[in-house]
Amino acid sequence: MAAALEFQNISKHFGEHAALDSLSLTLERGEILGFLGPNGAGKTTAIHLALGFLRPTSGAGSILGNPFGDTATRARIGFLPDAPAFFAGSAADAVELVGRLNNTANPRLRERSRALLSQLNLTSAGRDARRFSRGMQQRLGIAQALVNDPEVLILDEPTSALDPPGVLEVRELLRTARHEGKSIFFSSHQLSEVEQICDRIAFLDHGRLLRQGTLVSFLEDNGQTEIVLQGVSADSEVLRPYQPYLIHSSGDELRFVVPTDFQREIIERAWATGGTLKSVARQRRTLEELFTRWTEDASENALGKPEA
Amino acid sequence: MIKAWLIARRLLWQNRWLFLMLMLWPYLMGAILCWGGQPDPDDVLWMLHQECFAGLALVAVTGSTLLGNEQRSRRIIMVLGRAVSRPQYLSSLLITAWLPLVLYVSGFLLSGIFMAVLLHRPWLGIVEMAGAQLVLGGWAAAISIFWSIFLPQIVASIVSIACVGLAAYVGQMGMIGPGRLLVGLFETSISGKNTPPAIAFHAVLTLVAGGVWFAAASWIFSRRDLNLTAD
Repeated sequence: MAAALEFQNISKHFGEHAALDSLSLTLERGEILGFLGPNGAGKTTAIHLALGFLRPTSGAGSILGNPFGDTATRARIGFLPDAPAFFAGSAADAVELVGRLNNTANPRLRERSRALLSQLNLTSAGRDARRFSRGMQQRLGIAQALVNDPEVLILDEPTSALDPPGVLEVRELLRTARHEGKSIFFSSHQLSEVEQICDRIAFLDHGRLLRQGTLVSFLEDNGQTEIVLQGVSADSEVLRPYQPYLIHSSGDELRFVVPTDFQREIIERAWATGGTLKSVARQRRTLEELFTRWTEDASENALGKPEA
Repeated sequence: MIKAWLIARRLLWQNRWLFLMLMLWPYLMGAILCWGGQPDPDDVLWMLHQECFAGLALVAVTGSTLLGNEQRSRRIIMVLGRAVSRPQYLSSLLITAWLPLVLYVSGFLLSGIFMAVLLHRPWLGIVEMAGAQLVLGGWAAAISIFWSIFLPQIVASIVSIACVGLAAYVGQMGMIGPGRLLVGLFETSISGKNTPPAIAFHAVLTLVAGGVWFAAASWIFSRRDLNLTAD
């Protein structure tokens, strides 16, 4: 079975500027891929290429086995743009229009439209979708993306304008969508969202894919352990070698973050001097830390590049 | 065609007040001419010809600005992100540019016939002018949409109106098709006595020419990036 979405060595240049540089990335069926990167990284350009709004300078790509830009394939895709825009009319009209453009027929369309609007709390929304708040427009955009019961969802910043209840609603919708076997390509700056719902992430900067892999592999053990000891002095001879790892001292409690290799030794030394072990915890990275580090690395690499 | 109509309907609704005002224009002009009694026949004919040109200019300006407006508002993404092809999308713009002309021409026709009746003259020429306007309007819409793919809105409007003017110029030099039909439109009298021969043939050629412009626009637009930072 063909991948849900595949970029094959795709580049996009606007004049001299390379918005996307040899991107190769695959969204497998049934997975949620978080597409991350700072502003201007090329995320939206990649999405626009996938939907056929832009044509690649080189390379190619496919959605559900068909080339990017294939009109019939778009009927099987749900798309939420970063800034949803609507014609004059009600929320129901906006959703039904998209359903009809995606070949969804009544009465299924009407039922699905009603259900989605109800789920996203848009049933009592005003008459003109253009005058909705940014958050309501985003929820309406999500309803539009889901109305045709798509196999692939391409979401550009789906939760950026939502309040916390809105974020929860969307998270629930996306989890349901995955449960139904949909594949989701999820571009976002909301790292906590990505962390909670994505199976895999890809990190893009300056148009280049810098990292991709499972979320678990990125967030797993970072080789550091936090150890909290009690009843032992920070100045004691046995703990002196670990002074550089001491991060907090309060009363008779000492908090160390040490390389995991040292974990056993420091605990044994503390015990030997009559101290007790209060807690041991493997340190885990957060996506926020990773995002910051990768962005900094990319900036340093860019600065370090010799001029052409 | 259903998808094109679904989009066009919404585009028309968005600009409904402007189009309704334009529809009233021929009535307003007729009322001014008829103010205080029977109008002068030459004034009526002059005004009808001016209205014909205004109708075509309306189509050219509308057609030239639609694509830019939709790109700037990014509504085009909402539409083309669905199962809508680029030619279908351009068809919706063509319908949106042309349909207001039908409203306008209906006003032209009714007000024109009213004045012809006041002048006790046959009004076949007015019907012929209305028909020619509708045919030429389709051709002008295709031209304006073609130029709107490449040019900023204002420039596209000017170039499209210039194309209509150029067609009238070459029509005077004996060119067939839209040029000849345009010249015929401005030569036709209220009674229709001096309607150019074979005007139906030129009308068909005009429709074919419009089709060629539209096909070229669709072909090119299908192979271009959307300009999402449009003017």
